[in-house]
Amino acid sequence: MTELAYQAEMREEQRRNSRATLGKLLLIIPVMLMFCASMVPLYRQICEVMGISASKAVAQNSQVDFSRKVSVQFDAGLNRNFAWQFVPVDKQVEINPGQVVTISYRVTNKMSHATTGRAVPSIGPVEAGLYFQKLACFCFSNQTLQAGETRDMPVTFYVDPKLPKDIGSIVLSYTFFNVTDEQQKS
Amino acid sequence: MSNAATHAGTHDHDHSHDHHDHGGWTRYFTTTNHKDIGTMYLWFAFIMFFVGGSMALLLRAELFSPGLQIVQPEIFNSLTTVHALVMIFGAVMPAFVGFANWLIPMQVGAADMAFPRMNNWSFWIMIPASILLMASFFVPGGAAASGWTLYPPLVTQGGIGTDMTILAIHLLGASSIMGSINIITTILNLRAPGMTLMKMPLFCWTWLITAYLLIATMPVLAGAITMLLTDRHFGTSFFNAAGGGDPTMFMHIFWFFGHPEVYILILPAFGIVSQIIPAFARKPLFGYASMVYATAAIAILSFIVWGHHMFTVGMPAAGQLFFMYATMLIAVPTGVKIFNWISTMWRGSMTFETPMLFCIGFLCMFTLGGFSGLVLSIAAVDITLHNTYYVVAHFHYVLFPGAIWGLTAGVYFWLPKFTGKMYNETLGKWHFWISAIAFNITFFPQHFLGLAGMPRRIPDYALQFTEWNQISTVGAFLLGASQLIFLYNVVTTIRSGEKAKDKQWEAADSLEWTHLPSPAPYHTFETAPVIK
Repeated sequence: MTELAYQAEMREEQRRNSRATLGKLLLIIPVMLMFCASMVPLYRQICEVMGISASKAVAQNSQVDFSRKVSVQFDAGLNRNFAWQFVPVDKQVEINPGQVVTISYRVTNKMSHATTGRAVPSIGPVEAGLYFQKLACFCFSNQTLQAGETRDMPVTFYVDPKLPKDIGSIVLSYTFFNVTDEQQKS
Repeated sequence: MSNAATHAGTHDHDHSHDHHDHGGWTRYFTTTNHKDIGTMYLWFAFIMFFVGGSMALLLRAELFSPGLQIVQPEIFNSLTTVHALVMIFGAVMPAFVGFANWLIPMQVGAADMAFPRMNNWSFWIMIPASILLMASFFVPGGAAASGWTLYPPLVTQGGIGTDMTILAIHLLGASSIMGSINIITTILNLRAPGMTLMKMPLFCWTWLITAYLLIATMPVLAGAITMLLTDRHFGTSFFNAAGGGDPTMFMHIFWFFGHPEVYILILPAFGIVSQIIPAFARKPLFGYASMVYATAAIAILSFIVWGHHMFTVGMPAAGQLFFMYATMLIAVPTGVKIFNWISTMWRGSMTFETPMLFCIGFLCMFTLGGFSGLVLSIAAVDITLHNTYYVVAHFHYVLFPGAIWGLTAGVYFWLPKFTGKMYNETLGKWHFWISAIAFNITFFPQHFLGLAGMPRRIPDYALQFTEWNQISTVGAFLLGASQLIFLYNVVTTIRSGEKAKDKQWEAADSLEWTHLPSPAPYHTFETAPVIK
């Protein structure tokens, strides 16, 4: 009888313990579901913290000559009687030949009325002109600015990798001419 | 095994207080008896094993010669996908759960599993799941054809068959989680007085650890395939690059589940082998504690090696190195286990009955599969071998002689205890030797094919691969045929086998052999035994 009672008591305790275990095990399921959902941001964070980045492995543009650098300086000038402010945003960049670069100039019309200007580029030294390729430029076309207006004007260019080795720096220079009158005539 | 059930009927008068055993055709629907459920699991797995095997034979028949002969590429892809899913979720995992149901309560001295009703449910939801999976072949668009890994974007393009597959995996996952909860709770709470954790048979230990792996990873798989489902139907873009998603993210999540899953498929086989080898070497298992720790170490490491499945997707070198070294580290605890099994046999009084033959076959072939795994773990080499037949050869070497032979050894070993009848030893030996030879004819040439660059999952191939493919196909049909010997042996044992002894194997020392008659009665250990 005591043996039977002991067995019954043991079964009852086992049942209670089993319930508790069930509760703990069921908890693992939502935890792992949440883990699944958070895995990607977690992975990204770890890579970032540890400085592991897949972006380093991105293929390089084979048309760019990474073996040397060329410095390109930007100059801005105004023709006479022309109250515009005209400056390069960056005065100088170091680039690899073949690399496509975009820089910009900032123009402000300080006059009290709308004015139209036109820019003419010039490259020095002269030999470099053959290898300096502008892909997009504000030059040679009329630019009309209202009184007090400021505008950023981008230039996209690259330097041909065939640029002779003795040329280490190039100057790109623009001069704005006031063509307001000319425009009114036409 | 149905014989165990009929036998149980004769025991009814001994157990007049039993309310569960209704008899009649509804009995199996409502049963909560761990032995009934174990039997159902084992038969279910056995049937699915032949279903999945037939698919494999169709694939091999198509690959007998270059060009398309038997199936169209779409069907070929579906067959590849469903063959894998059926074998993993339909055959190997349910078979292990079947063994767990039969053996764990008896081995720890419990009357039944901790939650018998849940046990019934976890079996029966596998039936609609497998019907969904098989029926997907007959809907417009056919079954899922993305490979069992279900990688997007291919999987997001499939027809309704893909949705059926995803739902089937949801159900099978739920079944596995319930089975695992039952197993863990049984082992932790229902052990007989004196049965400490470190006295448990190793099969219980490996299943305890496997069950934790299942509970931890199945929700991750469920999460991943739910995201697939919402990507397919509810306009989300978890993995759809067009909407800002990342297909690589699926691979990470899938393999976070997928790698522990491959240990889920092998650890219980380790447990079975750890019980059979000592019985036939007539020596206790060498290094019991180290076996337990090695199993736990493998399980823990399995969570941090998933990246080796995806070395080629564009991973930083630091990541590749981490996953490579972590993967190689797993060879250490696995080596400990192999060493312990060999040491158990060392100077033992060995006999070579069928279960022992399968265990020794397991030991040799699984080790070979482990070696090709080490080759694949080297990130630099893997980039060449990724998605080739070398990978196919590798995982069949660890799954067929690993998981399937472990299970086969278990069936031969415990069949006398389950049914009370002895199998035919001669047929068993024929089964082993034909399997062993046919297996190697089938899969060894696939190493060569992979090294020569033949990609996996293709219905057609370049002419220079023809000879080895033909040899492999011939081997595959022989291997399939040898499994019919197994089926015949099991059926004739149940119907007309000779009576087995209560302790059929003289050196077997777990409770089901030492404390119980053969066949094991329908109800066992209602009064817990006391273990000294």
